Amino acid sequence: MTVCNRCSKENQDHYKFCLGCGAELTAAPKPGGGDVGMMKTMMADPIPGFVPQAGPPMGGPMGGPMGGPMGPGPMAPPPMGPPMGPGPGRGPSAAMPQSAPPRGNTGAMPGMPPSGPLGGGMPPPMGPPPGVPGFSPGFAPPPAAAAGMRRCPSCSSDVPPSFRFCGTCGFRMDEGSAPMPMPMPMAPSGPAMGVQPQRARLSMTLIRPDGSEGGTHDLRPGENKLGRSFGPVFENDGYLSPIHAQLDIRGSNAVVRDLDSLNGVFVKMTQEEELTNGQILRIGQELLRFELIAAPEPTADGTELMGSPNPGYWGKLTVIIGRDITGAAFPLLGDTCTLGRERGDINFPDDGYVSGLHARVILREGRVVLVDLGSSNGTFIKVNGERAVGHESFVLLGQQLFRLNLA
Amino acid sequence: MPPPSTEETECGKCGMRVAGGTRFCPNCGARLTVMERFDVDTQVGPRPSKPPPVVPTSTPAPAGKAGRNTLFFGGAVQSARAKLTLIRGDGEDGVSFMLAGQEHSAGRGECPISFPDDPFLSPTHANFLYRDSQLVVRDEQSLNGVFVRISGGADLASGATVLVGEQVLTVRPAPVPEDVPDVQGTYFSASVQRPASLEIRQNLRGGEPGWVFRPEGAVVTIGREGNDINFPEDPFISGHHAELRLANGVLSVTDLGSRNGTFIRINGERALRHGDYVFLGQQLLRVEIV
Repeated sequence: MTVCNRCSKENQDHYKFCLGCGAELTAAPKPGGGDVGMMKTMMADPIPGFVPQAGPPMGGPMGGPMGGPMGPGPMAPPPMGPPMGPGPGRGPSAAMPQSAPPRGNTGAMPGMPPSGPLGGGMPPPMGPPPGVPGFSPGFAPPPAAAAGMRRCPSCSSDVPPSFRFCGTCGFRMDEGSAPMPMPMPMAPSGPAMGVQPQRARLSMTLIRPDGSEGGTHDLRPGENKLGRSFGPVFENDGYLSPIHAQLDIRGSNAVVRDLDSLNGVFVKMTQEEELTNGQILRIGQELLRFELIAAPEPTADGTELMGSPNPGYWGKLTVIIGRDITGAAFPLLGDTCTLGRERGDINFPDDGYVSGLHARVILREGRVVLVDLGSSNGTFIKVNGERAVGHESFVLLGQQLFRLNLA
Repeated sequence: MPPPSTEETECGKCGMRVAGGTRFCPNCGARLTVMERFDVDTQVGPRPSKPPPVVPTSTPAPAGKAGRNTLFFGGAVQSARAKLTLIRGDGEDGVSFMLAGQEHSAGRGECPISFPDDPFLSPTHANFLYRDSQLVVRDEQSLNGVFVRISGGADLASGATVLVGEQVLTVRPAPVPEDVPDVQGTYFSASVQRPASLEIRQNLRGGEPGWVFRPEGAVVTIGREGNDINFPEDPFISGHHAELRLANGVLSVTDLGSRNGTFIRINGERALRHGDYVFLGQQLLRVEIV
């Protein structure tokens, strides 16, 4: 057992971060690394071989396709920047040299094989962001960044002056960019707390895995195509199809449409959702498919298919591990089945992005309903075809999370 | 796991160099060797040498002692060289079927060995036949297959089905997803990768898959409690019942001294020995060579 010297919680020896407060267990607590409730699930990382980022991790390599959903959820405290970090290094790639250019805009994808082109992507140690615009009120501003930091125009990470490429997203920096923070399309603002940038226009804002805001992508009324071909905020995300989705905006309402993209479009749940057979959802780093278990059908000659007795399983959740490959599957029994990291009926103990109690599948009057249980990172439903979204909806595209600004 | 010296081969799927004698690629799980090594009945005990084709003989040599033969009514008098004894639910012996002919079909329909009330039997499910004095059971392309109890351990083909207690489990080396982009250069965004050795799939009655387990370790124990995979509600499974193993690309199952035994679904046909147990549908039969 390792006792956290900040909150005194006992942690398993292989934990790099305290399960209770998120403090790094091997080093002294970092200045400015305040406790944030919403970060808790991010901090627990029991995966052996995980290499924590040195320095106050920043700059947002996501934990994975799902790292993104760290956005300020309805139940979560406001986002904050600096004390993030265990997310990025997860998975087998963690111990690999982090030199390869990242595949994705937001950097390391945990869980990707180390050999993949994505193996790297971990940003170099960096200071906290100098006043990322959009920090919500209520949080102390992070320490000022080292002098000369530049801001990546693509992902808004801070990039040391000597870097030719953004350590977070690989954006080429040496094209005459200014040495000082270059707040992309965002309104410039200092580190002053409580300053909400003006956003009088339609846009979508990248939410980095630490909950802070990254770049924005301007939108216009009517049809907006989204994808790798449609703007710097998208172009480095290898999980986005070139023409990925379409957002049709009518006033403050919008419809997002999946344009047959490889990975689809996910929307963060804000209320319960009915699950139909085949619905795909995401919690933490898990991509799951819900399926009903049908009653046995008689065969042509009347023989019944032999098998293990079914104690009443009526559905199941299957982990999708590859394009046409599924992994573990969990049958659903009874009226409710809770998903979580530790305390659920179905647990993903090694997924630090799953909350202790994350979501619940409920069988109610012949309907199957999914409810988010106030998870830190949210529960995401894949859009089948198209779906209405609104102002401040969270949309997951590729491995990036965006908040829509339609007001 | 030092390979037994033979030359390396290359995995046809992923190109990995693999030690000779390895049956499945340790990298991607692809089968490395020719089908022939796998599609036979998974070995239980001594493997029968390649049986010669059936020679129709009018008077096959009796295998047992003459005095114990049951004579068959009618012209072509044959001696029963083996019998099948039904094991009842209470473990006691039930009815016996003398195998006095050349072939003896079994199933739910009108067969010499008939169990009309067993819905898990195909009308003609299996055939017990003699081939060169050797009793053989053949799966007559039944829906649910023929299961034979293993003694000790046995190798398994990838995708083999085993019966442990009431659990019908299909086992194969865990497939490894490829991380290659699609034609547009987009990578698939799946769940976090977890190392896994075996994939164990529970087949529910009626054909739906239930649990799918992907344990990381190369040795996986199965039982009622205290194992890697537990079925606490299964009254027919022993505390520590069986062990699955993937070693050097070879998949195998070992019975851990369970009370009810571990059964493997046969592929095609296989020879039977005295004392073997065969599951057809819900019928458990003991083989006695007389």
